[in-house]
Amino acid sequence: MTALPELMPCFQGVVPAAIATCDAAGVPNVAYVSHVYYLDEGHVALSCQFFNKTRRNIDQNPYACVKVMHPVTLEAWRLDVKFIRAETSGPLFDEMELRIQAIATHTGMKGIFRLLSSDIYEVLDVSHVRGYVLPRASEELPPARLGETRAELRGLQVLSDRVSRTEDLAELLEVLLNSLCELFRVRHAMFLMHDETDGRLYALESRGYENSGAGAEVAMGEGLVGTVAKTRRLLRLSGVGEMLRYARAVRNEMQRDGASLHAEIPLPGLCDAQSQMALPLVVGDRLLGVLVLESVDPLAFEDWHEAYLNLLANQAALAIERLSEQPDVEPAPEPDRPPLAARKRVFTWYPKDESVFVDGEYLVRGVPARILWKLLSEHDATGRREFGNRELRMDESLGLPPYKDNLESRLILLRKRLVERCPDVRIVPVKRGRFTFERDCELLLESR
Amino acid sequence: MLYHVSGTRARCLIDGELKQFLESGHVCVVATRDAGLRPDWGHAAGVRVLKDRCVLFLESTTGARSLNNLRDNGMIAAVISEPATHRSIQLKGRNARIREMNAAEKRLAARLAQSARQGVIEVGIAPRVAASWNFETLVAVEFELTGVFDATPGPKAGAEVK
Repeated sequence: MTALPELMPCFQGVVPAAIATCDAAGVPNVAYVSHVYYLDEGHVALSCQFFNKTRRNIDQNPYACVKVMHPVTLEAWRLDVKFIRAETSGPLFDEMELRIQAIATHTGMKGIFRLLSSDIYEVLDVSHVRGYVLPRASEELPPARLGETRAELRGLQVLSDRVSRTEDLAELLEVLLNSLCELFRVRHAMFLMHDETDGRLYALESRGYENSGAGAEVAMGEGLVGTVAKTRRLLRLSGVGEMLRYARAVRNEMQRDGASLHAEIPLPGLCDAQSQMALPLVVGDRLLGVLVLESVDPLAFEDWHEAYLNLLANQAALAIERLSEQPDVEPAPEPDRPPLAARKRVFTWYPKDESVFVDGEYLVRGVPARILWKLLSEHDATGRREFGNRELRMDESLGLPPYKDNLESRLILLRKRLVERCPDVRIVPVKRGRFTFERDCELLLESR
Repeated sequence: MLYHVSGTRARCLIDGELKQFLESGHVCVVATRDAGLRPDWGHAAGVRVLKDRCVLFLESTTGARSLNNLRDNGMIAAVISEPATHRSIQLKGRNARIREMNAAEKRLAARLAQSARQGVIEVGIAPRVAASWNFETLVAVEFELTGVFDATPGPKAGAEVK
């Protein structure tokens, strides 16, 4: 008998599994299963999302035969199993439900596409199905990755050192994402900050995407990022394409049946991601943000990634908190400024939406928009260029929370949005807690 | 064209579109069971729908257990599923009889297998891996159709197709 742990790649949900059952009268049934979970050497769990024929058969006759396949080679195994029990709460149920929630909220089926129970089966026998694929593919099994663990541990140490030495939040986020790409071969990564004033998450820094996406928003509880933010639990999804195909099939069936569902929510990230991992950055009871890694490889992230990157996320969270609470430095005299070019940019403030547009295009909203409007207005009225974090904190009209205000991350977001949308106007950090407001154009301010 | 299917368990209808779907070479997985009601799965290149019968092209090197079960009791179920959309139909049958394929069936089965390989390539399986998916040792399993069910994932999965 093959040992169950050897089949780990088959339990990632990349290729659908199938389950054959039979009722008390001897009528067989076969159904696809989106995900078979490995529990231990003698048990697997299947997700039950609908009270279907499989479930009714199992209640009459607990024996079943499960087909699992290797997602890369397509080799197949037979698992002869016996139903033990269905769990509707507890850690296993929560873990399985978390994945379903992430997909459900992404596909507009919150509360409809859900887990009814985690069905636990004892594995009676495991056999490799010889001849399911012809030998040429099985010869090309991915090479074993011996000796890499040590390299990864070293990578974690290097990253940890770099994170500890950073002196401001912008540098920390850069170091964090650059090092993930360099040391852990991550191709696509982003950090989303949690804005405690409105409960949403905003993309601040990213690597490997067509555009930086700075300012892209995610609501609490929506999709992978929102689910991880809400539950504050790490989540790793393999075979994302297959999960979405499955969910969309359910969605189509429900719509055909007359159900009115919410629209799919466009979320920041790769449109063709096959693996995703999201880690909550938490200090005490406070959620600082979510770190997201993505890949087009359906098996990019493994168990060890969870362990290593969870350590890293915890350290990054502590560093973010440390760097967000730096003392502000006293102002220095303003240097002379160069003459301005003749270009003109029109900034429009919409108090109702609390957003700023530049030349008719959306730029930023919320607290960063209020900060920008304050800087623009003061600069326009007095020509002032240098500003400090302390005065922003003292200005009640900006609506910053009195404690743990995330001002640093809001300034980073504002700076990035300006670089992308209006490079003629810049916010340049000069020293800890101070920055200058620079422009290469004339400003026209209007409020609507 | 409409096909009225006779059977004691169900009277079902396989219309032109459904017949076309079933015979268009999607992925096909099979269930049988032994005398002690222990189920087994097998895989097939696809099906051909006749008036009140079906011929399924079962892969025999991996299907020894399924073939024994069919010889024992002739009970069978098969799901035909389109990987890209998960649209799935389950056929149920009885009195299954195993026989060699005729020349026309061999040609049809080869086309169905090729189309099934194409279907998994569309959802991300590497073409060279899909090409190694074994459909070389097929046998015909002819059975009486007793029911046709919608097996697409969702709340209606398992409903009889009427």
